[in-house]
Amino acid sequence: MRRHDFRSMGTDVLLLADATCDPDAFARAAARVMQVFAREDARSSRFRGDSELSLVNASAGRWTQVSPTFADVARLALDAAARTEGRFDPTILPALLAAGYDRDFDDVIAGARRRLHPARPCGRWRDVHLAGRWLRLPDDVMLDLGGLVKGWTVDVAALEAVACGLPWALVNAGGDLRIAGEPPTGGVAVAIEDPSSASRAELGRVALDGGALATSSVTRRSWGPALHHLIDPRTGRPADTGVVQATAWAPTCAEAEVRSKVALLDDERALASFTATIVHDDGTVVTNLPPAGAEVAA
Amino acid sequence: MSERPTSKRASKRELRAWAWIAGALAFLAPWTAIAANPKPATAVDGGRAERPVKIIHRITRRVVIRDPVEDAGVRYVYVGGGSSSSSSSTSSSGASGSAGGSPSTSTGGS
Repeated sequence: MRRHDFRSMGTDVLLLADATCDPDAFARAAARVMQVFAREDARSSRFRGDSELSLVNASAGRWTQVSPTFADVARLALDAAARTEGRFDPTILPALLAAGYDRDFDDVIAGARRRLHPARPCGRWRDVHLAGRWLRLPDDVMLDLGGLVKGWTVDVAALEAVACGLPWALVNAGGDLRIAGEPPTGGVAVAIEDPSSASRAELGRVALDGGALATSSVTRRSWGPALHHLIDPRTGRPADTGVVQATAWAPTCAEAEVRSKVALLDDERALASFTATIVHDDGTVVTNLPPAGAEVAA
Repeated sequence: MSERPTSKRASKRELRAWAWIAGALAFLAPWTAIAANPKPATAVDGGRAERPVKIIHRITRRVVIRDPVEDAGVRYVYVGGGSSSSSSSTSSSGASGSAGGSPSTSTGGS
């Protein structure tokens, strides 16, 4: 395998391609993928005061014209919120801040956060209005496109890597990954990490030959007992559903990101709708991923 | 009227002896305290096998495999350890990155 690692969006990013691919094409793809991540991080980071997201949040209460890309991602987020009846919610940011995730995560775990606040209500996505490129947030609402924009960026980066001349490419940003192009026979082996392992030991393994995987885990980005970054919009508090990790498959990484969050909240009910692996806090793993070697029903 | 008792004045030699004794005790006191406390285990003390092992939390894996609901571009290759409660096969495939060897990448949340 040919690989290129870098850091962006506060996480490790990997571009993976076939060992036999053209080195020049791989170099072009690596440069392109880094460019895509840098551009989208500058657009959508809530930790950058000059990002488009920060400017939109600062303009809450009035109509703001946004870039076409920002409008696309915001539309994706609002559609996902409507489809999942708010279990995926792009307006959980005030609740996330109240729970203590009020700065870059490296600073949060260093103890630099402000004091905790009572849980904040979520579900304000219904009050966000998007008309073409014009967006209006209610006065006291802020958007957080975090995980969704990371998945969306992975999708764009993987497709652009293939457009650079690679037969196939896999882009992985902190566990949100997408394979594009013609994958190798048998797929690419991807480990699902054990949420109870600090060293990220392998819990299971999948062969990915199309689409995307995303994982939501309450044991990562955690800064105290019952304090982590996955807010349950129904309570406004960090989720506590008995599920510690959910890995979901979808045709796109943005959708896999949405599904993994829904699976974390809905537990095994989610397995009636899509493909996922769920790890409970008692160690039980429940999966409906088709096993290797078996025919899959259409 | 009795005579007021007078304390015998210590000689220089006696004072010097007491000073030496006090100094020696002061010097030895911390060493005695250190020696009296149990030693921490070290890698070279040969006590690796005798070191007590405290199990904080043991997780027993039980894998439940449900029927797939969609035609997904992903296959479950295997689960390391634990038991599985399904008739479904979990044999390895010819996944690139070698299903039996190291995986090419991983997913686990960020």
